Amino acid sequence: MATFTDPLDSITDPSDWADSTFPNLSKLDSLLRCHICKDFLKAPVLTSCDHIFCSVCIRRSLESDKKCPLCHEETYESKLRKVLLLDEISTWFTRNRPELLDKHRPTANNTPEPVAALEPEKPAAPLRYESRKKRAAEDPLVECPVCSTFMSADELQTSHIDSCLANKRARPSPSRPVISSFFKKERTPQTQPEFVKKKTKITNLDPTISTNKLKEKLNYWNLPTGGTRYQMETRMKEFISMYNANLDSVNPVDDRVLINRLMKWEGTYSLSNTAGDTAEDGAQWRRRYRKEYDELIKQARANMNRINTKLDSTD
Amino acid sequence: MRNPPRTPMTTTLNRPLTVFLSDPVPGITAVPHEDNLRYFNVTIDGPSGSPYEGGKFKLELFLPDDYPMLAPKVRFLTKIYHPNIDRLGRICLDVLKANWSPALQVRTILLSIQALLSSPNPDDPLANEVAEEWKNNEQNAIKTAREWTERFAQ
Repeated sequence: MATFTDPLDSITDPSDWADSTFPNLSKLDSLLRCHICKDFLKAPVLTSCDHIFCSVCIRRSLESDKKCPLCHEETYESKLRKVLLLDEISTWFTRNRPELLDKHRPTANNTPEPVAALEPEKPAAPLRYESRKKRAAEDPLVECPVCSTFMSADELQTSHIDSCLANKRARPSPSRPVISSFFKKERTPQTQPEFVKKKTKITNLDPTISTNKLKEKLNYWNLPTGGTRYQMETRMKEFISMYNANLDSVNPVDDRVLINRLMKWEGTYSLSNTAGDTAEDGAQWRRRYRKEYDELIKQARANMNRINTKLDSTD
Repeated sequence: MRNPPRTPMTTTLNRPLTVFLSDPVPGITAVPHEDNLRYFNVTIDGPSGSPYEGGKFKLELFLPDDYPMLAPKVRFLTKIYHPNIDRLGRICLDVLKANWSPALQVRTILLSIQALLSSPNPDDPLANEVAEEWKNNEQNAIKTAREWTERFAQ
């Protein structure tokens, strides 16, 4: 998930391997990335034209254009197939990348720093905002939507969320080291948890849906119904992409986590709003290029008049 | 409230930035604005062998909210005599319009613009008068393009 950390710190790039002792790893690094978001594949899916993207990325893309971004062949959402093995590989690589990078640092005395997962005796303090930046890359910890504590998706779903909702003070069981608990539970490879089987994908939003029906739909999924019709529509569409993509993941999260992510996603927007972009930019842009726009309009009017008089004369 | 960006800001905005920092393209620079990471100041060197050789062309690039689902908006700031670039600096290039794909990057777009300078296409014009000149009197058109490069793109 996108966080509000210093933007450049959380960005990884295949070129990070360039000065390592094994620069060829940059190839693997770039192969495991989605061609749309350029980040590591999350819940990858295969298109009918044999191309792979993050489920959520290709779903968002197909919303506006029913074509494969790579080969421009016609592709439909219904044809997308999840590739769980690749999800596992990508997750593994994402999680182990910092350590790998560290082990392949060119410096002579590279005593590798012990990884958190190997020292269970270390008290598992709930991860705070500051440490999140580093953690985010190593471990796909999820944030509890209620108490904002970070923990493994498994723990959140199996025990924490219910107790947390029942009693806001509940914290992840302190005896269980948060990170190592992730490795203890071995799931059969290339399988998703049972609860996924009970769920079906949400069908795409009918653009002619009435506003009341749209509100009903948002209510049904426990989503806010505020804002304009367009905002509600955008919110619902994004939720459908997120929900359906979640069902393609080898580590799917609870719906409540998705809703929390959706709210954050809308939050990034208001954040960008204060930083000032399109709305202000539009006005600024208009101010800055008023002269040119005015001239263009004048030109267009002159052209129009010319065409009109031409038409008149041919009459 | 306007519509939210379709993808998390941090990734979409900084990916192009990191790519430029880590893997620069010869003859092309892209520097984001300090107060608006969606807005880049771009320079493209005129390709050698073209009438734009020796010129340094300034452009502005803006990543819309829906990037990468929508193409970046690019515009020449430096005056240029080219059949596919109009007086406002707007560019007629398929990958910026109908052929945009979210799999493309800022990098590939800027490379395409550089390539457009090497191979003007008067059959798909944006600046009609320039295109006419290019078709009727190519030598003269190239001469004008060279003069403009010397006058405006230094």
